[in-house]
Amino acid sequence: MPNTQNSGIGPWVNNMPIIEVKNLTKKFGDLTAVGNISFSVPEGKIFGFLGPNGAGKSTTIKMLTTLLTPTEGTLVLNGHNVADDPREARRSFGIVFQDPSLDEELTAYENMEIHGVLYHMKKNIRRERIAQLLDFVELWDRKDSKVKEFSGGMKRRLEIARGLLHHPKVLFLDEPTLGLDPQTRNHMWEYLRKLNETENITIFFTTHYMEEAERIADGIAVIDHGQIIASGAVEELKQQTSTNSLEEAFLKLTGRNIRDEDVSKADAMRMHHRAWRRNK
Amino acid sequence: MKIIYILWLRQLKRYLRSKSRVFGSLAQPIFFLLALGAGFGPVFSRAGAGDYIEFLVPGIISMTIIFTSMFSGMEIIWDKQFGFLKETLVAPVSRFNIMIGRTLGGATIATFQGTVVLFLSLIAGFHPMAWGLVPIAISYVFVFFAFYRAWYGYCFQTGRHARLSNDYELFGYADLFPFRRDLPT
Repeated sequence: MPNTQNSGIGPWVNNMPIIEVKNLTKKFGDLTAVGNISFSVPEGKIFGFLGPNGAGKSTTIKMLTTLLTPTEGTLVLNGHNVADDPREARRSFGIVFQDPSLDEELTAYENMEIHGVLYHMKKNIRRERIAQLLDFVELWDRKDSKVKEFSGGMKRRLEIARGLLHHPKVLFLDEPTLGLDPQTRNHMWEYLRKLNETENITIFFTTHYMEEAERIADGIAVIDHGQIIASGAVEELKQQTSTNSLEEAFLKLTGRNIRDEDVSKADAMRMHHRAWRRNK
Repeated sequence: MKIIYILWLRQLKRYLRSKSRVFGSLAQPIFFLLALGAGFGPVFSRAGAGDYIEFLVPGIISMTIIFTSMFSGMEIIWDKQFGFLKETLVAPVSRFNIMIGRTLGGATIATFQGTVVLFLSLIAGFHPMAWGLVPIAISYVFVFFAFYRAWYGYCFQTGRHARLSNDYELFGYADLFPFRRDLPT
């Protein structure tokens, strides 16, 4: 059995795994973005996936959410093999992407409605759930406003509500709090905590804010250069590295050098679009 | 079926909400109709070549439809840019249905624009040879451009290197070239 030390099994595991990743590898040409990683996330837990820029976090999330096919390895989500049964796997998760993915010309309600139809929800259940969730993220009174009039925090809240609409078992959050103020961030984690408790949703998130991860996550895996270099509960990581905070543990594990990150493709396109509009 | 409907509806809502798009895309055909129609018309009939409007209008309508459908085809790039495409790609629905929904939406918009231009040209003095053929022409145009647009979507989905709208425009214009050459026939 390769990589048993990376299996992510620790004392915080007491439920059945809902996400199981075995020997996952993704190569882009010569570049190995993710190299033979294995971990599992038990149902109903909050799992933080941490790593410096370019470590392979987003690639892993993309593979888990069927947007990329792995070069090697298996992914099982809620009992469905992602490669063999992508449609059932897609039904099992909701996702909040790193970049906004709402239709800005449509209203909050219409965005939710489209999502509900795409996930084959019955009309009355859909309506009820949309009302419940928009109320939950405190956007019900703005349901008929176009999304382009929303602030960054409101968009994020709407995306979370949308990700939860179809009763997913797992919610993926790719840097959900990036660019939000501390108030919104706190609020958001409160929602997510509540959801995790009331609906038993497993939360899989990535973030660069270590204090957030320390406060919220039940279990953590640290990935760097496409390898999982540490995993377990927050306390375990601190013990392993004999540090006092997760931030220090993280720096000890991944080093203090600054990583360069290419401007993401989406950012490049957005910049391009703005320039194009100006010149027209 | 519901999925196709909701994506079709989305296209229409987006279209009807951007007033500038509705009027902007009508400005060009009106300009052609007035400037070319009124300008060249007398010269044309003097040369004994018949009524210029009758000659010009089918071309203007086709061009309106081609460009409208091309721009709605290009919308999939904006969707990718603004992230909405990802939302549809992780949904548990077939890619085929997503494409059909979008395509029908774009084709409906293009047909609608074409019909509006037809009415405008009626005011400008255009007389179709046979009124009975107009509905047939409209449905022909609808189906034809539905496929035309689907082809664009397909091009984009397969040609992942076409990331920027520039690349896409190049594709588009290269393809339109033969259409444009025989427009006035």
